[in-house]
Amino acid sequence: MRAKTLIFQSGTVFDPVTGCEGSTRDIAVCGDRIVALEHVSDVDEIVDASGMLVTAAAVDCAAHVAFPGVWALRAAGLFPDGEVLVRRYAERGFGHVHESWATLFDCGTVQAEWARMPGPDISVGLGLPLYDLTTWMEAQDAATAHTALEHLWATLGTHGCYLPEPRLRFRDDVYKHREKSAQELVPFFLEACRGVPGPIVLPARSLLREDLEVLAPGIHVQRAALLTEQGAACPFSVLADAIGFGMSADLGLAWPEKAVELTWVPPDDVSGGRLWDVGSFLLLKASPVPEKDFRDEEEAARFLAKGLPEGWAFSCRQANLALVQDWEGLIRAVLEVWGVREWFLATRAQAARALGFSDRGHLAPGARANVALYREPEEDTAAGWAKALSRCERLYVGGREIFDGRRGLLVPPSPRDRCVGTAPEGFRAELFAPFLDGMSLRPETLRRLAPRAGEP
Amino acid sequence: MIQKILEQLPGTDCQMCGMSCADFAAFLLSGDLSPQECPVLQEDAYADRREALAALLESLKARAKSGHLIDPDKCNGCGICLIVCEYNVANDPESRRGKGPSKDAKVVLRIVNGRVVLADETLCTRLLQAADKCSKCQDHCPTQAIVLI
Amino acid sequence: MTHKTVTSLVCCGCSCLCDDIDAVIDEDRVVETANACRWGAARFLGLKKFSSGLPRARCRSSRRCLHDKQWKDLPLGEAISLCRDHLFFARRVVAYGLGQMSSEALWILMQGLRDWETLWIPSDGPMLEAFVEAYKRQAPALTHLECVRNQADLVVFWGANPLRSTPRLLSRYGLFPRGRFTERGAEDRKAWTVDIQATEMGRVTELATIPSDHEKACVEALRRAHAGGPMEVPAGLSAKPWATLLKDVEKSRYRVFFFGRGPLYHEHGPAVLEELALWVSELRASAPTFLVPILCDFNSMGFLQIFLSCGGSANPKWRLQGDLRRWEPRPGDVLLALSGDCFWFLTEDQKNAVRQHHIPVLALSAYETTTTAHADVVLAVGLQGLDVSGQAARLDGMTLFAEKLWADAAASDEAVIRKLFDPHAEIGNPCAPRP
Repeated sequence: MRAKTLIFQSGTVFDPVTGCEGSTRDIAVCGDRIVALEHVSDVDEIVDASGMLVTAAAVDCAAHVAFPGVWALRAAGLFPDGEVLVRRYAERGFGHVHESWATLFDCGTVQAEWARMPGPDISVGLGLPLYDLTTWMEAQDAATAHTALEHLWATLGTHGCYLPEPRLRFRDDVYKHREKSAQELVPFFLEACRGVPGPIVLPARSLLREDLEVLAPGIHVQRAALLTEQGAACPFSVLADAIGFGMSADLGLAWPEKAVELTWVPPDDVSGGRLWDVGSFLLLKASPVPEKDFRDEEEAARFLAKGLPEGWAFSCRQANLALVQDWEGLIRAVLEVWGVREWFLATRAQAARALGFSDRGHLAPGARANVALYREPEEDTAAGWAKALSRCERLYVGGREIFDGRRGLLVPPSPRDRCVGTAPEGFRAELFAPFLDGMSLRPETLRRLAPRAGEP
Repeated sequence: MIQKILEQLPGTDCQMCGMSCADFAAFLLSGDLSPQECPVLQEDAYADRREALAALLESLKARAKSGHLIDPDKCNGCGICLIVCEYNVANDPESRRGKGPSKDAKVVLRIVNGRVVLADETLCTRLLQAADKCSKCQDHCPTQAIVLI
Repeated sequence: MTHKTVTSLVCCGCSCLCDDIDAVIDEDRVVETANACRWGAARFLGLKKFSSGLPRARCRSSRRCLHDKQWKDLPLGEAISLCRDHLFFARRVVAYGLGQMSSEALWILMQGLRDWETLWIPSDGPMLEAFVEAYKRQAPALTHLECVRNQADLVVFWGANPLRSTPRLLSRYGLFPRGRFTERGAEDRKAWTVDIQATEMGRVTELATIPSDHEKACVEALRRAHAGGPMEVPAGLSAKPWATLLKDVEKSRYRVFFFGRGPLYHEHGPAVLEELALWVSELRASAPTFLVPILCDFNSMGFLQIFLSCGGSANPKWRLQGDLRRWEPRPGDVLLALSGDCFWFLTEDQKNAVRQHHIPVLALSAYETTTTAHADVVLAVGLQGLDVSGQAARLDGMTLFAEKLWADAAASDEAVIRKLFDPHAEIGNPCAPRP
């Protein structure tokens, strides 16, 4: 069947990657991809975009929407339901959401939860406690670890890897002798992860100053602004200096909202908040967002101004942009420091780059047709732009319209089409043995989770 | 079990069989002697005990060489015996981790159709070493479905 | 005979969702299982759960009840259409069961009933309702069974007898398996059972028995003593086991409290859970401490996750009710019995009210039950993990996928529920399940 072709006609295109910053242009889509206008012959649909901003759909590069135990937060009324989250993402023009991590045994849970939230494209990082790799580390066998990880990521359909802590620690004193530093482990880990798709992500709060020496290009630091907090082991400024040589980061700015933030805590710091053990050395904790505004933090505001040229992406302290209720207020606050161009870069191109997606966050031919249309701002001020950009009028994901400002969420593309990753041809259960050493499950069970990823 | 057998013997320690009643009970349990070799038990006064003893010894025929006497009606298949079994733990990594053994694994005990069965009694520590060496499956069975004799 | 061995099946017998079941299949019949407990094996072999060896009657076909109590078999599509007609006139839907359905079916059901006045009564309702209420006020930590097996050095089963509800919980996760930091299994763990009577659990754990009306007082006593006060247990109870339990709690570094449905058979059950949740939250100050509900139905946790994910708590038209016996049938109700035998539990008054108000009873079921015998319309579906595939969430929330074992299976509950709300949906070409 011929792919559907549509053209967004006469829109004011804002796409810094292709150099369009307010010029009137037509954007063509064939199937799920952006195509060059001159390659389009038969057009199935013309979308009149006059008076509209046409942009690539935004990318949330650091979300936790379907983390284990979210139901307990929902039971307590502390977390929105799935429909609210998806509607907020759509209303704000987000076409891709990256769930930062799912543990090995929670992949099915996270994928199933996302499948019940039809809307944006999704990708899920694999949260990997390093002691799952102990066998190979002891043998310094990065090659086999690489083969196993590659097979695991392909089987589970995950994108990238999330290290809760770049050190190997054991909770029990008896095993302390087996602990290893980041300096020992990260080079091994980078070698084992060579060439696998997606980012290697570290949560900022788990960083130590001495880790920076080994945190080489290709590593993404998540929610870096948390380093402005007193007592952070790695000062913000130190990290900022390290970014130059190829690390990337997203901001994680604090915004005064009634919501919860999700952070990692060591087992000896488990009071307050709501807590989950997700099978890592650290425990996951949900606690109320402190009542503070990043604009009150001189260092954070300075960092916001400086972060853009370094290629930083935009994220929020709540670890989920859809949790922010006063979205317009937040955009306005950011635009007072950054310009509109920077906003588009940080929420689109740079967020996609942080995730290792070259086909998202821009409108160049070949990109996935995730397109957001907004009304043009009535006035060229931070307030005017914030008002316009806070309310998407039409959102397309993979070339299909999934949201209309008047009609709400529309019939979404099938969840399978929204997932990143494909299952491998063969299945090699023996490679999973070291991962499953700490689990009750058989390898076949993991394989079974993968084909279901994304199905309703 | 010896005690139960002993309760059905005359208890006179008359030595007419050449030993005490307790020793005689042990030989009955091991199958080396039969009740007919107790002259006192053949008297009419002990007819009830004779019958009870015969029934008791008949029930013991179901026990394996390793001494396992399994009552499938009591077993609910919880699988605890599989993962406390010394042989299983030492030789089958799946059992050691709490998973059910794979179909090709060499193990002493298995859960089949929801009940424990002896997959290969010859591997049991009680046969390989000594009967008093191990009684973990019996000790940890919450429903008392396994009795070692 | 065409025997075939299949391995690593997921068992939907209880909320453990064991994934290590091997089976021998003869065409479309399981003839032998390995590793499944008695409950799980009964499901695979088509037997009754509590009566060894007796076959369990399956729902052979979809049907409707005629006025003279005669049944008329119907094609599944027609039966669904009849149900749809009944629902059209419903002023309130009463959805019972739910914990034995696939996650996919539950999600479609909740999407379909989003704007309907609905009373949700899961068969594990007392536990789910009590936990939702407890989580509103307390913040006990949650964990995974994988983490429990790896790390727990204290396990307490409060009002729970997993040997009767989730038989392999002890061997796979709770007590005996050797984990990362419990390399000797049960020898590295302290284990306690608190119950109102002596149970088999006393043979594998320490046992503290307690009169049911003193349960809350005992938790309070433990809390106070942990805070530094004296151990003041209710009159008539010996303080010794409680002091030992507290000592074990204080010495341990990773504690897991499994909460069973035992206390919830009594009216003070929710208060016991609330108090325990509070104590568990406080215990976190000294070491990671977790509270895990022991649910019975294989997908009760899936129901809870999806219910909350669909905004169930905030939906003004929906209500989650724990106890079926609190349902007061009224005109305009439609009873949807979804893989649950509600007539087994209804009181005579409730049954009379159902008849008196002409409340339609629509049953979706894989088995013949008291409810299918009383139903106006019966929708026959396949068994998950045998006839049909589907997702389910284990008692700790982990989602697993149970695959079907043969090709020419019955309709899935997912397909039936989809068709119920969308007349144009396909239900495939389901054959009636085998007798």
